[in-house]
Amino acid sequence: MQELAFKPNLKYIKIAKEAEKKLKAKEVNLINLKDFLYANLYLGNYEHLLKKLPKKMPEPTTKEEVIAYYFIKGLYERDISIHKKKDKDLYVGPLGFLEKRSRYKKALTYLSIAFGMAETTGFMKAETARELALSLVEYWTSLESEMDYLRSFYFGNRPFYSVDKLPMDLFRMALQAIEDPQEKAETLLHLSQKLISYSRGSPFGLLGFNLPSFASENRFDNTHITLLQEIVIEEEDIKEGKSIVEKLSDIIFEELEKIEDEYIRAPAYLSFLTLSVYHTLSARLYRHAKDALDLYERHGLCPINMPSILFILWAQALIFKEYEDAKKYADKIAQEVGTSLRISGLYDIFVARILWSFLRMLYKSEGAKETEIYLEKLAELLKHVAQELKDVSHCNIFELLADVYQETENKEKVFELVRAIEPKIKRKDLERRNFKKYCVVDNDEIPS
Amino acid sequence: MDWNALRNTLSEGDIPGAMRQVGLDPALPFDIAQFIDLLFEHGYRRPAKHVLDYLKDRLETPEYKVIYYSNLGFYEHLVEHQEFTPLLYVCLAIGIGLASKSPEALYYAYNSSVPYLELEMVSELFQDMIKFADILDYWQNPEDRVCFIVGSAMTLFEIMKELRESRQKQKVKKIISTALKGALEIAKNSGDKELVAWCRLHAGILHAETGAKAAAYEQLTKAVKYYLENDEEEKLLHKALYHLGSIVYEYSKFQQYYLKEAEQYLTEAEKIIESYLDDGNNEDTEWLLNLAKVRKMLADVYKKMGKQEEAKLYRKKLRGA
Repeated sequence: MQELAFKPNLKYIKIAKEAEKKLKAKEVNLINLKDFLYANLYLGNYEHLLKKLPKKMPEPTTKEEVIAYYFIKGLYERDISIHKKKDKDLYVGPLGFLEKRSRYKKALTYLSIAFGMAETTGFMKAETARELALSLVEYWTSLESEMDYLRSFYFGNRPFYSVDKLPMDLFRMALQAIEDPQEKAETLLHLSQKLISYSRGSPFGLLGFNLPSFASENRFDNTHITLLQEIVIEEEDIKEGKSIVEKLSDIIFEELEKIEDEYIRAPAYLSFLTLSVYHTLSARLYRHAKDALDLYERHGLCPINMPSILFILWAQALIFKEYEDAKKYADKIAQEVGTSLRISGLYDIFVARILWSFLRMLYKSEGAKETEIYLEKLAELLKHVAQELKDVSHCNIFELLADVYQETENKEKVFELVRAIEPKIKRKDLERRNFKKYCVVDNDEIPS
Repeated sequence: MDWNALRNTLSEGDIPGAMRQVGLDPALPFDIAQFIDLLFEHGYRRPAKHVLDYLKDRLETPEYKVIYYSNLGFYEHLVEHQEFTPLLYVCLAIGIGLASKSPEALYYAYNSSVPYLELEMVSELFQDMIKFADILDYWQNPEDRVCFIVGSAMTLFEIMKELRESRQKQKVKKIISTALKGALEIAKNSGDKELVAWCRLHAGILHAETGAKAAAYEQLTKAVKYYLENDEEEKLLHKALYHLGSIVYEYSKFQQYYLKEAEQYLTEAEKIIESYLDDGNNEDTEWLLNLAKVRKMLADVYKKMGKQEEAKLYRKKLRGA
């Protein structure tokens, strides 16, 4: 992870100096002004900025300058005006908050316009994309925290859990605009760090629902981070994706450890770690997740997504060759959730989805050879599950295996695995996905 | 419309099929926009989201992007009750629209953003758009540019009507007036007389609506003159005459001098509106109402002129209209 350490200060010191030199040499155009403003804001040189900033903003003369114009207006709206002494006095009391809110909204408006323009005109160079995305995150989170505070202070409520969710599409767009994988990775890491430093909200966010009144000073919203993790995984050309997620997981893990109340900490731990393990295939995180499950069980909690957590841990246990654990999770699945899932008809979907995701990820990160080994282990279990569930999940499992068969270089081996599950299956049926005759469906058993 | 059939098609995930069912072309971006509107209007929020997801996989052109982000903002506002996300998405759409060279896309984004922006911001962005038109060269074509400015001025006028503070109203009026002047300049420089007349007509209507009667009078008389000579189908003449007649009628309330002119324009307007309605448009309620207004104004004008017989005739016509 060391090679990914983001050291932006030197870079922005250089940009700030160069831009200032240009401004001194009367090259006062909006591009130089934007560089000067952004770099100094980034470094926190507000006083210096206020002294050196030209009094009047030049009018744009090119498309790129129109983007810079909105970018500058966005940055100025909050950062500069808020640091001017005469304006500071304004931000006291409820009217002050409303004024601030209005400024943040304006900042968001300008920055979003700049972002949209940059993306469409093709001026969304790596630098602009990153700067805009970071600025948007900052304003967004400021707006959110101010609003939370305002609500709690003036309406007597505890701070709300994150009412608005972060517009993750923006991150996706920013990443798409950055071609170099290394830069992409750096940006993601930096974005994540920014996001983490601002993250608030419910530790239950990850579980798919928000529980109010568990307000704690150590609240932490994992939802955003999870989304970022997913983006990392989707960005297939980021080789370091796995280690970024690991790094993120570490940061979050540290944050979660600060939550003193185990009743709040346990589910947050477990959900987050399970997903982290799922994304990273990290044995270290797997062990954390295992501990989290113990902690969780001590409190007798049962989240709605327990089945998927167990499935992930079960599959991970197989991958990490922790067969005892795998057996334990398999038993839990069978005892605790198997029945309810069978009733709801979700079992096969879970199996297929999780297995397939793993296999895809394995291909990507570990290569075909490793995948074959895991495939074998997984298929063994799959065979067991399939026999237990009989026909309900049969067709889906065949579909899954047909996918694997199609992609693998070792077709013979996969075919053997398929035969282990269904001895009568013929190769041409697998190739043509003609499974109907192997799925003897008893209609009475199929959940509606 | 067979909503059951539409629901079935949508539940099968066949969005192009569903669009065809309601007479829309799935290959046209703004037909997709219309389809989303239709679903939202009828409370089909989830299907509308499905169409948005469908669109998300097809963000090939700025038009699609503008429609997607504008409606995503609306969805976040309407369904998810988000406060700031809509603002962010619709502004993203404006940015895309500004860079798109597509006046239609920009106009769509601009309109979609109005509910989420403070009026001051709407006005500012509107001015920016006009100011940056040359730099961004979205409109090589003066007609597009004039239509965009006039259309935007109309939107602003609608916003202005909602305002309570007169200071803000005055500010917007000024913006509208400046924009209309700019549009007229562009139209004049293009050498396209029809475009000039069209611009004068709509500028005149807007001036009249904002209370700038002198400016309205000037533009509408010129538009009427052009349409009397050139508008063979009289499509726009009746509109111009109606508005001009209304202005002059307002004038005549204070100055007798305008009575004769009001009579002239209003009788012309009446004739043209009558012929328009007789021409198979007798269910056009807007123009039926306009005809009634014209007759009411004429009855008043004749009364003030001392022509009691004519006034009586028009009151009678009014009862029959």
